[in-house]
Amino acid sequence: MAEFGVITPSVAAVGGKPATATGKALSVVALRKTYGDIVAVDEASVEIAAGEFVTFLGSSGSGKTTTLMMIAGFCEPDSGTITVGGRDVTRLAPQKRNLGFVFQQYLLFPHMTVHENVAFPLTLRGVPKGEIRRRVGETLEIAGLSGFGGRKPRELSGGQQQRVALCRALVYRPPVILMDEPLGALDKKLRDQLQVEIKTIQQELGLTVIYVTHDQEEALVMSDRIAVMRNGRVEQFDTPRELFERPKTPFVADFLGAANFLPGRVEQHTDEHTLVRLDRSGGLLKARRHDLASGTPVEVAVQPGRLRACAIDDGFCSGTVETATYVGTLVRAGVRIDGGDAPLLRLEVPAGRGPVAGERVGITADPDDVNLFAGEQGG
Amino acid sequence: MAALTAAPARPRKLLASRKTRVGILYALPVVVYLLVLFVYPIISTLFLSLKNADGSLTLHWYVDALTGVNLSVLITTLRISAETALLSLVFGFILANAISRLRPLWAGLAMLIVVVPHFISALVRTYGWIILLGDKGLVNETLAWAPGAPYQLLYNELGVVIGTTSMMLPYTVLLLYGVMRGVDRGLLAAAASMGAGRVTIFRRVYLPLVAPGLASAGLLSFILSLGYYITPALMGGPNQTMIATLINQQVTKENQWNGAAAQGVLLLLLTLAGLLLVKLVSSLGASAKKRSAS
Amino acid sequence: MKDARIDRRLFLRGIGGVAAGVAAATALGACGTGTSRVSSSGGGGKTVVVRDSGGSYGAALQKAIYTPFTQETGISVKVLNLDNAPLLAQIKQGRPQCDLINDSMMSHVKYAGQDALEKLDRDRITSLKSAKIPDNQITDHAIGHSFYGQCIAYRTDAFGGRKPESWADFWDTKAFQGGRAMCSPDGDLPELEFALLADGVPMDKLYPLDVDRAFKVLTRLRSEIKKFWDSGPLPGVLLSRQEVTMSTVWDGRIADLQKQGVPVARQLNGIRRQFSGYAIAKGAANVDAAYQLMDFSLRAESQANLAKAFPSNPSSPLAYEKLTEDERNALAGAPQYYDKGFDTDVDWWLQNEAAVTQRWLEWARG
Ligand SMILES: Nc1ncnc2c1ncn2[C@@H]1O[C@H](COP(=O)(O)OP(=O)(O)OP(=O)(O)O)[C@@H](O)[C@H]1O
Ligand SMILES: [Mg+2]
Repeated sequence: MAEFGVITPSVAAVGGKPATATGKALSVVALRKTYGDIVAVDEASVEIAAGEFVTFLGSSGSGKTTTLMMIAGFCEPDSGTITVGGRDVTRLAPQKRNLGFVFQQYLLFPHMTVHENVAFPLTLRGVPKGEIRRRVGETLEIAGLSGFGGRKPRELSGGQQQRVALCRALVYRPPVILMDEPLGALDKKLRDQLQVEIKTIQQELGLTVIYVTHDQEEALVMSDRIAVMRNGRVEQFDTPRELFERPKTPFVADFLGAANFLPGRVEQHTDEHTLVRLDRSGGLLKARRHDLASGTPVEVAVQPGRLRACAIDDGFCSGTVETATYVGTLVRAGVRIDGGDAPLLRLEVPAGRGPVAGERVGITADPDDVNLFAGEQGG
Repeated sequence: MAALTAAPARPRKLLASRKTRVGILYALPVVVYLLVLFVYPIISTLFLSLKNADGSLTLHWYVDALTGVNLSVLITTLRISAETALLSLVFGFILANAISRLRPLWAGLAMLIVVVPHFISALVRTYGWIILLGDKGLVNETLAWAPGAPYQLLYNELGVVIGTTSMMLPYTVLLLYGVMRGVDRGLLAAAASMGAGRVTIFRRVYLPLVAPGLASAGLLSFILSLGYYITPALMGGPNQTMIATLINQQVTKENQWNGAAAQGVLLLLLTLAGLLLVKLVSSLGASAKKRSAS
Repeated sequence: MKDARIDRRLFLRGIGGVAAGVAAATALGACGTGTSRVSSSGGGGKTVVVRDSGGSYGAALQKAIYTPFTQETGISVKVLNLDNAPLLAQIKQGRPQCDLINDSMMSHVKYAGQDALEKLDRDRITSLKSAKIPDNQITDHAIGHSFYGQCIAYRTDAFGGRKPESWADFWDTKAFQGGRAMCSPDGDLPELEFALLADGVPMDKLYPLDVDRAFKVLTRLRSEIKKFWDSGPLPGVLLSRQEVTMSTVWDGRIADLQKQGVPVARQLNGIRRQFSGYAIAKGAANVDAAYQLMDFSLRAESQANLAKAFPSNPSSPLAYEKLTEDERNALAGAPQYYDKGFDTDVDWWLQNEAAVTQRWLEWARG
């Protein structure tokens, strides 16, 4: 991290024209790709603004890599369009798209030194020698690799290699840089460190980045916006906060927030709230206003961190605390709800005020934190 | 051999270490093997080549070997070997490249086709070549309309080089195939993602990555060709006589070991020179790159 | 009988073609260690080791000679396909691997000169008389058992029904058009005699050969010679593929082609005969058995049996009488053809082969 504290104005201007902070950098419309019967990507659409850090998040096989490969041009979509900076590149060869790509396996050229690796894209663009030297030097400096120019990739650690790969994608200032799980092969600590480094560089240089990961935490830490993918579809494309607080589908609520799901039925509406009668406990729960007809069966989703324990009669339901685990500043509690064999309700409450095992508690939540999903079974 | 050169450095201390002693023990069979099968024959050959009929030392076998028709045969040998090395590299590269893109099953089949001629007797193979390349052969029959046909594709240097190249192909293809399979296709994609076109990717990424294989394949076929003579004899004319033919004639017909030994030593020296040259070129290339990088 | 050419080459290559000299020295070294002395390892029964050149000739020998010999005498025969050079080296070290040597008379004469062969006791070879082996095939160290010849082979469909009658016709590329093939020194002795015959030298005045004249005559044909063959089957291949219309050929190599229906024939006028014979290696372990096998092989009956199995020409005139007329007519050695050809002067060639070979190479590379 320290490296980035000392970025000088001249370094920030690496590569000449800084990315414009406004305007569409890339848009993907109704992208579809099938392999035989498998639909790898299904009508995926995202629009990404210049300077934005966007992450494709999804479980294994959800189509993240395939989407990225289509954007990069390594595989051809069945239908849909891809535009970069307003130019349709859907059928263009990869080398003509002027994108940057950072691979999970680094893919540094083993026969070239670090310097030559980073210089490679510049030499392709006919940049004069002196300028190449300067820009490579600056880029390596940003990544904290100043002394490493003469080394061969195999003489570097995994983290260093990935930083070189990053430099190689940065150095020619492509309008969009694509990264496919670039930190996947690194250990947790290094990953955390590089997450911050990449994010910092991205912000300092105003880069537009599309990032792929299946690690929620990584996505939340780094992204301006996250496209949650499931079975080849973009389930929701929003800021981390929106995804977390206003998930559009039970899947998103579960995948990002690991929400608790409770079945119920819409009873009535007030101006600001929707009231839901819970199936099992029969309690009445107040959620923020949803446009759902009375009587609609719903899944109520609340993140563990947004549930609170309260006096036994004050909550929308009650139960017995079965487990209570201290995790640093939090207590994770599992509550057995009265009147049914539903799964344990998961709570995360600040340590100190936490319930203890065996205690009888009521459960409540801020209506604003309660999400309702009509007619669907949550994950 | 390494153990031999390392030993005199600090013999006592080295021998004292258990590891070294065990190492020498392990190296012993190899050293003995090399001594018996290589060093001894080479030294005795060297000795033969320097011995006069009356047992005194002389250089006249070498003078013989390097004058007149012997010299021109030697030059022919070098020329044909170089041509063979070059052609088998080019065709080996194209073939190996194609095969390395095939599915494993097809690749295996293609490899078999390349290797099979190797196991066919020289005469049968020659018969095949005559059917293909002769005056009344397939090639000339199909090109009968062309001006200048029939083309002389046999009993000259072209014929020899076609023959030896086909014999060398299995080596170069196998060697290059191995190297090419080892090249991570992702690297090529990476280069493309940075904007490199096909030609650039080939020249600056693929070629350098397979270059070590190219060097050893070329060298191998050059060295193997130096000692070839069945195929040259069958497919060439007197102008394609190889030095091995002369060695064979001297030994088997004239029982003239000294002259044969001298030519054998020359061949050996040429082989070593070839090795050295490749080493030199590759290290020169590396140092030039280093200079340009710093 | 000339199958040895290929084998020999494979042998050398097998050891390491990179530097054949090195390889040869290795062979020398290996001989010194004397891998197996057959006589000492013979478990009771008597054994004889014979060197021949293997291949189809070796198979014919096994069938026509070795097996009947073992049946008759109880002596088992082991075959060794060893090249001349290592064999000579073995003999010089006093421990030859073989007892009886079946090789060209020329090489026997050479070996005898190097004191590598036992002087023969003619009384121990009774079939010399019974088979009427010609005197000129009986030397102090070797007995000739058969010969092969080099003659003209031509495509019968190439010259409008005419057939070449002489070496002069072979040289006459106007009357007999088409490419020629002749042998290279790697295949056999250079064919100087044929050039001289073509130029009008009478057959009985050939030796000593006029080398200069021969090469001059050869030069006249040089541009028509498409290929110098170096192994027995090649002339047949070249003829059947119509690469050439006429070639020199070993006399036994044409019959098979004719059986396959290839329109080829041979012309025995001016055939050059070279004899092969038996000799006993100096220091041989089983001299008695070697004599017995030699004696058995030289019998007219044995020679006839061999001639049935392999197209070689027996040295015994009696052998031909034991063949059917067809078999006899097919053999270049049959008495009725004998005047058509001449015997190679072994002594002349022994003295001149190296120089002629060198000159041939210079000439051919021109
Ligand atoms: N070349 C291919 N041939 C056939 N099916 C493929 C191919 N590539 C991907 N798929 C399928 O397409 C779907 C999406 O794959 P993709 O690699 O995009 O997933 P991902 O989200 O990147 O997963 P991960 O997190 O495991 O990398 C998967 O079901 C996969 O099996
Ligand atoms: Mg993936």
